[in-house]
Amino acid sequence: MNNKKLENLLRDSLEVKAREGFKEDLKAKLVGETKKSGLFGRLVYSMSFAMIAVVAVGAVYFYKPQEGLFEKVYAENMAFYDEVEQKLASGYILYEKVLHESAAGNGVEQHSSILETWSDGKGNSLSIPRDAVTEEILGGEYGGPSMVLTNGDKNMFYTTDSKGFGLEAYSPKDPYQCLEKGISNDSGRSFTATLDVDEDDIAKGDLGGFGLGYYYDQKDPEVEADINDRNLLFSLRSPIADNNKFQAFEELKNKKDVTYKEVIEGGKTYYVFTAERKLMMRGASAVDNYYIDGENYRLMKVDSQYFNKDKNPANRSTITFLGVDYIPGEQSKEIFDPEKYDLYLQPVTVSKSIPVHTEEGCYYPDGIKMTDAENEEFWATVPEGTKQSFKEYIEEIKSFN
Amino acid sequence: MFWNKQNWFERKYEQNFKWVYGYVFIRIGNHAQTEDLVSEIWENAYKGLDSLKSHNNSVFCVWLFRIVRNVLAKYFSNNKKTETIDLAKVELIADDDFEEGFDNSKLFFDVRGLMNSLPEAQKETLYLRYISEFSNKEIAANLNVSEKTVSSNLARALAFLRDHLTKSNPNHLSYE
Repeated sequence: MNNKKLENLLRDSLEVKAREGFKEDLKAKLVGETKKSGLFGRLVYSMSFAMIAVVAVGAVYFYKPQEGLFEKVYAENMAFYDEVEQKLASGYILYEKVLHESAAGNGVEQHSSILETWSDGKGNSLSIPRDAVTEEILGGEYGGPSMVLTNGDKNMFYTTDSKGFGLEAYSPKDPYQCLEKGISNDSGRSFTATLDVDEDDIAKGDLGGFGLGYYYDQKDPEVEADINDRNLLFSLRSPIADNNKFQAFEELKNKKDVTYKEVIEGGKTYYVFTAERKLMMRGASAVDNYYIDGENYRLMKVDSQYFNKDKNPANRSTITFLGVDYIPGEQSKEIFDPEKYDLYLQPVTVSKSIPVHTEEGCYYPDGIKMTDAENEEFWATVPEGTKQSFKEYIEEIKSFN
Repeated sequence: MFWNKQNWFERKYEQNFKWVYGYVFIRIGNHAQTEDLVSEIWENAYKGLDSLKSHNNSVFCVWLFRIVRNVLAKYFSNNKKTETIDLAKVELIADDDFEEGFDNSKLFFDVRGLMNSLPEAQKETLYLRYISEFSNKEIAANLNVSEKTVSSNLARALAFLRDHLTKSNPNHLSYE
């Protein structure tokens, strides 16, 4: 895709010219007197440049290297936590976190495992696991818990790693006590997980339960080209059989590229949306947003990513489920504000899970070397604005190796 | 002590006038009103210059952008209007020879129409990137979000535009 052309088009489309003379008129009105500055003013002005030069030289002389990766990641995460805390303070809970950077940062600590939890004081809490899978990350892969959902009784971790995917439930009282583990089939291609809450829980403001599943491709998951055709599937379920609650589902059902079906199982209705989508570019994250309006239902996002060329589909892509839940009440509208939600989107980026670039060339995590053409193609897909940080990240990863 | 306020401000004015005007105009869609608001913005900036803690350019830009947003917020509040305008109705100014091989006018209308359907955060990021020519770091500082969020918003917005433009007319954006 021709990025440059699109960017030029945008610049031209957004270019705005002020009326001729307006800029000069306004300037004269604001600082016209500048021109009347005397010799002393000009002298002072010149001296200010001299001072800048002195300061610049001094800055170079006293320059200290930047902080390391751990400090950087820690600082970024603390900023994120601050945001979360602010959100929680306003009365609703937020569930969303992609932790690849955290995990990379934890690489410095080697196998450390941290769980941080916030509560809104209404029986719900937010937990952020920071569970490093150090070797995998340093090897160019990644892993570790991506997010957590909780209903007060269980913290459900949705996890991804190079070996597959799963969901694990831990006790919120003891984050290291595993209550349930691994809902994942052998191939790692699909799994479904649910977190059940009954109607009383809903009435109290607890979660409504959810189901999530995905599969790569109905055709042939082993075919490389099909990676771009894989389907994502996620489902919503509610223990309350009240179709009036699902007004917004109608919009979602009619959404382009989304198929919809209802599945009744065990007396409960599942609302399943299948989003067929194409990844925008190799390695870049692609995000679909589905806003589910209603009083008791979840706002969900699905984020997916293609990250290597492993023949095993479980090893070559990952998906991150991002969801926001809320307590029914005044804040519900705010939480459904896509702008506020967007602030919390931390998409998986290619830079954290991609081929390792060395002086000899670029290698996929499975050791296969990229061809020059692939390398070029790869860099062409990295968004312009992230190229520099991407390169810096690679250098940092290499320094750990 | 050696800081010459007026000269410094003049330089900042020259450096930043274009994006301030462009940003306000794209929000308002009307040159006359934009001129009033831009004048107010720069007057506020000049008056408030002493409160600026640093004369670093990026600090100034963040500060100035805050003024821009405040003035716009006040404008929208007073006029009880939403901040959304129909970009497709904004006067086109692109050069006729911008790109050969397709109909510029239609394409610009398409682009602007599509931009209207972007989430606000993505739209604003695009504005700051392509009107203001801000770097991702500067956009992040101005919008008070992480650079990663800026990158993702940009990537998603561009992908959305590219995808839809290609669908609406495959000749618009050819694959290389």
